[in-house]
Amino acid sequence: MKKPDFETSLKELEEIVEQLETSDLALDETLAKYEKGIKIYKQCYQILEKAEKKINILLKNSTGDIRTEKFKLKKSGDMESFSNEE
Amino acid sequence: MFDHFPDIKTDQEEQEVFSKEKGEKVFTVSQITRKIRASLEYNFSNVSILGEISNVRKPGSGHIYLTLKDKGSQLQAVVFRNIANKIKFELKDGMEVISFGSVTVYEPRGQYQLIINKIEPKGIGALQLAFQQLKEKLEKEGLFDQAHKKPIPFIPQKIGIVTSPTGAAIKDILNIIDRRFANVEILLYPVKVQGEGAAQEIAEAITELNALTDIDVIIAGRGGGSLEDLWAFNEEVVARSIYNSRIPVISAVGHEIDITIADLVADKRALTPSEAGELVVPRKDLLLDMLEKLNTRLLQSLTGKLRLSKERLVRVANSYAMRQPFDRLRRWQQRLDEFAQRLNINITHALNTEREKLSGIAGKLESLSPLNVLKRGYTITTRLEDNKSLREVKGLNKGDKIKTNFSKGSVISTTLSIEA
Repeated sequence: MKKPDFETSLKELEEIVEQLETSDLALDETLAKYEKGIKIYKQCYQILEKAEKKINILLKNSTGDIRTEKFKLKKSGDMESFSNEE
Repeated sequence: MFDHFPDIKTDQEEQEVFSKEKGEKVFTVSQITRKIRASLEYNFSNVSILGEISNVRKPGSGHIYLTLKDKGSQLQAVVFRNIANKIKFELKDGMEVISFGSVTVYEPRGQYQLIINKIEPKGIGALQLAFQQLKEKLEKEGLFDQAHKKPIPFIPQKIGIVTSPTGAAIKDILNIIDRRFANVEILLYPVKVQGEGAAQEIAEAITELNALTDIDVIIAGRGGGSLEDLWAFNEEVVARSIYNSRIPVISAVGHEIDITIADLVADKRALTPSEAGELVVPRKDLLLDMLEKLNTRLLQSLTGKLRLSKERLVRVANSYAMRQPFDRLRRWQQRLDEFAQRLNINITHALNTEREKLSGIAGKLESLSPLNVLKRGYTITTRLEDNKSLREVKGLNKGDKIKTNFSKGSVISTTLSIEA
């Protein structure tokens, strides 16, 4: 099963908050909704913090083997010959 | 024997023939053809000709044969392979074109023809026409269909970028992404974005990124430039690689006014590379803010609900229905108290009566006390052995010890004899 994405989760959290705010739920129902809301909140947070900052460039050697290397922007005066755009 | 390119030597070796009648020179077919050719080539090299294309033939050799015509005349023309490969648009019957080239003669058949070095559509640039033609073709095939477009993931974990590592585009894209959502993984696939072979490189990069398993979205593009500079993104091979990509592709070519075929096929078109950075990741700070606000509301709604429940409980406890049992209880307590009070009074009365009775009895008891008898000189004799008072001598034996109790003090004596 596909994990719920951020948008879906956020929407669900919004709905729960609105239900808690507007509808007249029983106390145990309120607590159950609150717990679910907290769980979704944590999931959303995790999605935002999951990925790590990484910028790599893909390089090929003469035999076509691929490797990656950390990529850093070159200074503007340092353009390679084939790319003279702008 | 026909010879397309006769050399001068054979030409000189041929004998000249003169007419018998007037002494004029007689040419062979080859000689005259050669002269015609030389004359045409001399007079009609590097000419520009306007005409309509008809009868286009493209045999396997790669050369293109066609007829240029207008209302009155026709001109055979040929585009050799090396030129044909460079023509961006497709030569089609009925198309008005301006052809640049030289007129020559195809000696084997004695036909003059135009060798085309450059050909342009009339009234429109060749690239523009090529764009229109490809657009029409791919549109018909359904490459631009909205139904085929894939959604761009809201928060991608890994982004593939197909562009030049030294161009303006990569700088813009990386800057924007860093500002909006820095913690994301980026893989740059470096390609040539203009010139010979650029389109092939771009197409190959998109296809190869699709072979990787962890790329969520691809950005393909470059910074602004002339139509020629951007041309790679108008090539069919690039369009097809985008269409066949299972990973959603964002196109980011040039400026807003530059619409390329890649833009039309892409799942999402960014007007500029910077906008691609905006489309590919959301603003993390806003999302965090939204989350925190929801979290606060969540907590507030819970505490609010708890407070409300407590208040309700108090209200219910004070309600008539809840108060009633207490009232009954209190009534019962009151009755109990009344009973108790009445009981109290009776008991005291009874106790007092009994007490009076008792004190009367006690006076009687006192007058009957043996101690008073003793005071009058009587004694009480008891057997020492069992301290039993003796009323008669019966049961008493000689030698028994007896105790004689006076009003004050007592005497113990031994029985010497018994007289009955």
